[in-house]
Amino acid sequence: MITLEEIKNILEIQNPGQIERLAREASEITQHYFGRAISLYAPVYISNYCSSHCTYCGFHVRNRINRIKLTGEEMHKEMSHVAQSGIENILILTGESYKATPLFYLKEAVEIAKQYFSSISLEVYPMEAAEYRELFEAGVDGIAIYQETYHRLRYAQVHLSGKKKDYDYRRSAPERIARAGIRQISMGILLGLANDAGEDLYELFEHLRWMEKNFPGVEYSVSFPRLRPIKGLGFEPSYVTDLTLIKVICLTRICFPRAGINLSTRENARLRNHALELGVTKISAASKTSVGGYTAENPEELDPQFDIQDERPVDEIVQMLKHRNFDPVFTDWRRIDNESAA
Amino acid sequence: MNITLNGRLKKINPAMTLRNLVEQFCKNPNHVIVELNGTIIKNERWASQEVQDGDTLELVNLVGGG
Amino acid sequence: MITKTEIPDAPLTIAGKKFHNRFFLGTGKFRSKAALAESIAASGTEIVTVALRRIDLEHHEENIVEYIPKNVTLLVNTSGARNAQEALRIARLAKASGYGNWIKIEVINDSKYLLPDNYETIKATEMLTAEGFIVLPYMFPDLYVARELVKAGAATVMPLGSLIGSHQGLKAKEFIKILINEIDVPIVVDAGIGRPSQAAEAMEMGADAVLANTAVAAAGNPAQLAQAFALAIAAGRLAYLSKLPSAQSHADASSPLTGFLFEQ
Repeated sequence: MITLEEIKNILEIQNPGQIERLAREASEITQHYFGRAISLYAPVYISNYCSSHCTYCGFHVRNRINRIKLTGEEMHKEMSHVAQSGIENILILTGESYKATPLFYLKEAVEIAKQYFSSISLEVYPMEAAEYRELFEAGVDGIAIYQETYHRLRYAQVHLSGKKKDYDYRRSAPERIARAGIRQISMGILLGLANDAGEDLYELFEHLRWMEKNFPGVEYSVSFPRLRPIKGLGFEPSYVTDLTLIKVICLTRICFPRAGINLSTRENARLRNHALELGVTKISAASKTSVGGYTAENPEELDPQFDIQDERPVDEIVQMLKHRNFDPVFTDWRRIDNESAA
Repeated sequence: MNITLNGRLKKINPAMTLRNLVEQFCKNPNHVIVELNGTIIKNERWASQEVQDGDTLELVNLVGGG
Repeated sequence: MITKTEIPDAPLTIAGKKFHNRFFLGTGKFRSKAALAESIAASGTEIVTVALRRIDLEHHEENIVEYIPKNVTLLVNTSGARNAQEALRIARLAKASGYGNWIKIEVINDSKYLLPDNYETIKATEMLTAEGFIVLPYMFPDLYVARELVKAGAATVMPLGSLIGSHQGLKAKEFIKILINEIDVPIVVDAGIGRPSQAAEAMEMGADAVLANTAVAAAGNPAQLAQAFALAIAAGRLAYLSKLPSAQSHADASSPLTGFLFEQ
């Protein structure tokens, strides 16, 4: 595996020729293992209730926002709207509140999502293996859970209260997810959270490598959300350049040839377009990051988790992909009954 | 007395102990391993273990191998 | 005569024992016991394989152990075993020989190619580790099987390079590489290694040790070839440790992939 020193050296490179070489290697590997296939998905936030205080997130427990969680009917509305654009992969998100959005609420959301989407992933609070198993049996294909930062001290500094303070419980979640039988796991770090992106990247790679070795049947993907300051939060992320983000993507592609790499609509259209050539294999399209944001009458009154920079509708993204000889993939396998698959 | 020794039928004198047998057939009894009717018999018990009619014996030792 | 091939390297540790020489020598087919003894001395090998066989009742045979220095670890192979149960029987006999409990599991039910039976090897590994043997299984490089062997308690995994005695070197190279990448116990490449350069190649790609037998035993000067193997293995290991540079593709003068990062 790549060493920490090698990662740091690469993150320091400024020479355009060397950067281009790095990108070329990443590009070739991506072409080799993924062809030109790009998976499309959309996030649907169903609740912004949260019981943890993460200083960098707009949903944190102390932040005065309008707390909403969708009823079943409202979920139907949001999800059918998203499904109409052709999206087949849904990522259901909630804030981290075990009380407001307990397991049975999540299962209810999954049951509804099954009526509109052929692949369902969740990005929610970490839970016990038995609970992940229930989600698996309910039809969940994937779980996204990011450690945010692997630096213990920094982690403690930005997670002030709530269950999220428990670094180890979170870090051990991917293992529980794999044991529960869930076949797709998404891991990641927030760029701009830790001061040393190199160290965080190295720890993420070690974690991912360990998961690959111990749970080789799982499909892994990685995400690098880049933090931006959120109005009123008083949190200043470290500044992470486009160049750093691109290097992180290339490095990940080179070190993990088969892992998916996700780039959300946090990033602008231009960057996303270019990043597709370098290893990104999954992108969200036409996202709304507020609860009920797709069908709300007055969406500007809602509180988004982060600001969208790429607002292109699904059709436009598909056109862009085809124009660049990519192969937009809405669904790459039929949903099977997880109970019989177990 | 008839016994099977290393896969072959052999006639031996009656009232033989394993030790007698090993010394009769092996130039160097020190490195021999004895299996009597499927059970390994340790060195210390050779003198007291009698060979009986119909017994199956394997005398093996270490040789070159890959 | 160089008997030590010392390079700056951590010793190879197997079941708590440290080996400073990563050349394992097989002792079969030598024309004379003297040639074997000289080969052991010339190479400095610290672990040799031996086999168990019925005593030759007609001819006096000197015991091979007398030609192997006391500080060299004996690795008794289960050659002749066609299934796990037979391997267990041989292992127990070997243990009774008093020469330790290190066993190389070799379960072959194929007289044409001498390919190992991976499934019986897994079973045998389970059975032997349960009885306290230190197990080094010889196998066909299959990642699932290697994982099962580790789970069953194998101290190393010994994938074949190519067919026993074929001198074809690393026909299974790409699959051995996978084991090197994914399996956490030492990988000892065994079988089919005909030349020191092939052994060096195995070490360069990250194998932990190499076993050779036929090549040395059949050589015109076995002791010299054994020495060559030891030197080649040390050289390959040193090369691996120095992190060989990867082949670089040339970049164009233009930067079509990343030029956008430098535009205003």
